[in-house]
Amino acid sequence: MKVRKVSKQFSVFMLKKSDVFFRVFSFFLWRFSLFEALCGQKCLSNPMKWDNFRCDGPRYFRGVLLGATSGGLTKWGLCGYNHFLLTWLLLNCLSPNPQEDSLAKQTPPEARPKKSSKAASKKSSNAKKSSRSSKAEKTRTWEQVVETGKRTDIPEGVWMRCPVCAAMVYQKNIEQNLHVCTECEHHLRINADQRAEQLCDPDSFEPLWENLAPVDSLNFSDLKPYKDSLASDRKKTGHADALVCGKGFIKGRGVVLACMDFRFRGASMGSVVGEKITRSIELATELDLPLIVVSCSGGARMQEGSLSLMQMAKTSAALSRLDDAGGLFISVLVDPTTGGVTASFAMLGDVIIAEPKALIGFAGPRVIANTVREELPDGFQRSEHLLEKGFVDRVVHRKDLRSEISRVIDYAGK
Amino acid sequence: MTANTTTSPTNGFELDFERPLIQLERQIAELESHAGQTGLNINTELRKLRQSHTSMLKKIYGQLGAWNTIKVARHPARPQSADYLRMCFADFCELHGDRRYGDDAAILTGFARVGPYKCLLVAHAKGKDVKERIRCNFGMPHPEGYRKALLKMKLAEKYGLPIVTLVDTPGAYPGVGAEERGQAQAIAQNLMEMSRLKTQILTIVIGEGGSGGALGIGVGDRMAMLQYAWYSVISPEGCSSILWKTGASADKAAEALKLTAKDNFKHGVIDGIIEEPLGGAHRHPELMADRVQKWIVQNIRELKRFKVDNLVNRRYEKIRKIGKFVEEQASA
Repeated sequence: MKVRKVSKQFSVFMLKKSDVFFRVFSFFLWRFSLFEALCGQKCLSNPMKWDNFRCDGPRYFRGVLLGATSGGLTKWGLCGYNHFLLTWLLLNCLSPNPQEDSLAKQTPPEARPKKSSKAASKKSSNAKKSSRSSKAEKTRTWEQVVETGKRTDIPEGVWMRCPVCAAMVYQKNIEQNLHVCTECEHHLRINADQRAEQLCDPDSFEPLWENLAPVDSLNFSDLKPYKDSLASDRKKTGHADALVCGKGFIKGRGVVLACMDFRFRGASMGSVVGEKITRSIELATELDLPLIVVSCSGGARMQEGSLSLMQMAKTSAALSRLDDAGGLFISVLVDPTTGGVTASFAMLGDVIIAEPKALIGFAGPRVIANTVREELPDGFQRSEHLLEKGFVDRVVHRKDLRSEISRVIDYAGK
Repeated sequence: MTANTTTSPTNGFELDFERPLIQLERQIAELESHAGQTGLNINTELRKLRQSHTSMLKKIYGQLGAWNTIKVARHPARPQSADYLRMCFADFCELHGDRRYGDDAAILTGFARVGPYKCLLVAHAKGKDVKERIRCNFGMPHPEGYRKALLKMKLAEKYGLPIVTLVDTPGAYPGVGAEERGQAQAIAQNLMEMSRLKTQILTIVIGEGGSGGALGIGVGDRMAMLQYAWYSVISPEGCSSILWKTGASADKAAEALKLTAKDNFKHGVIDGIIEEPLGGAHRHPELMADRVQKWIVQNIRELKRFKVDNLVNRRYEKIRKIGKFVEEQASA
């Protein structure tokens, strides 16, 4: 694969048929806007700032980029496959090397039919696939590949399968869409850093108390010693515990923000999380800033025994002081918020906002099903269900979270 | 005292580690009845047997592991809040209902007198027989129970009555209705309000102290546990099914969770341990009740000395301090 710089901003990936990526990219082509397959992340990531895409979402943004490439020849609606041809033509014209030219010309036969319709493109890839596979293994068909969903030749982290609608989605699209599935609007779980970046104005978030680290005061060991789990989770997340908190700005409004990281021991609340939440609350009380806590947690941390149980009391007690001081606490509940976290600060928000279809409850659904010995109703313990029962103020799409929070802050006069 | 130990207080329920003890108790009872019938003088034998019974009791209860402690805490004959109500408190005036949804029998609330003081009693009720247990939902409260408790505690705040809570629950009830009525919200509200109630709050874990269900009425100025009670973030069964992926490792989980009174005291979670009579509270309920009452009276007396605002500040500081972590150097 060669990368060529077409202009200052755009580079183009040239593909040879022998290239490993060729198959991968040909797979992209029938499914998605070809532009991203050809012009890699450079042009996409470059101007990617929150405010660019929060107005209409990523599609608008992509349209702008595509329009820019083809010199304004296309309209927004046509941003898909037409675009590929235009880009390809552009590429051909620019190519000084006849050999490369011919190489590039090999691409359209795969690409062209895709212009007509998705089904046709599927067929063509099917045909292509089967002709390829006839050399290796005859039995493998395109349908099978789609069904199993496992393709070894797809590089890790480029494509992903939505856990709800099972659609194969291009990860970059998902990232642009704030980690919401472009097909079914499923809100994927994101980590604390991504959350803080999404919520705060660019580069405005300053993490605090990053040096607080948990200790294994009970000498706990289940199938694996607690210390080892802590060390491995620390390596995985880059944080000492499951909470990232600090000061930041949301649409220019100063806030104290705390986000839980589900990757770290299921974002369970131990002494460190409890302490950091409490410190955040105290900071918000002291500076009279709005406090925003994004909760997603499996509950209190079992490995710290009753110490983690008491963190529930600690955080709630701190919140009572914030409440007495007239502070604003916006609790944002995302999938999943359960156990001791729900039964303490998460449910004590002055305003409680939940992301769509997030699991929110005290006991986990499995525990409840085991206790009552019957199947739970559909949508039980989901945000919408809680909204109906009156325990959540608003269910807000991830793309609107920022504006909703700032709106509430404005109404509270903070 | 020895006379008491010989009469089996266990209602025919045997703890496995107590089996040799119970055999001995039977032997003593047999001998006694035999001596009564025949009029033989076997006092020396009886005394010997009783001595060995006491030493065995000391030995067993002296090295009670976490899992066995839980068994003692769940002993069906162990005195429950209803028993303490009978033995430590006088003139109980029960108050029902949360004014929103209903009345939860799993939490008992009402005015009572303890020693020279008037107080508000809030307690988990487990029930003695099957019918009562079902009515009390085995001591697992619904949200209305917690809301009722809060409502009555506000009443106590209004009239300046100290609050005494007796904790004895495996946990808050995990059911569909409980979730739909906001179990988590009810507990959270209680935690927040109890931390700023302008009156004295005493908490005693008399048996089981399971998770948020226990904490929901257990935030206060002073907290004590009976010697063989347990208090932790999750029941050992729940912990074992999550971390060991099987419910069968509950004994290991119990050891790991450090849920005994001694461990909780060591970690600063509780302020005191009320020692149980030899062989557990179920052997000498009256003696236990006496100690509980003494502790309550003494602590109310101590807390009454503080001004209410100071009291609330001290309570906050106390709760604020709990937790163990390290602050790493910035260079790390």
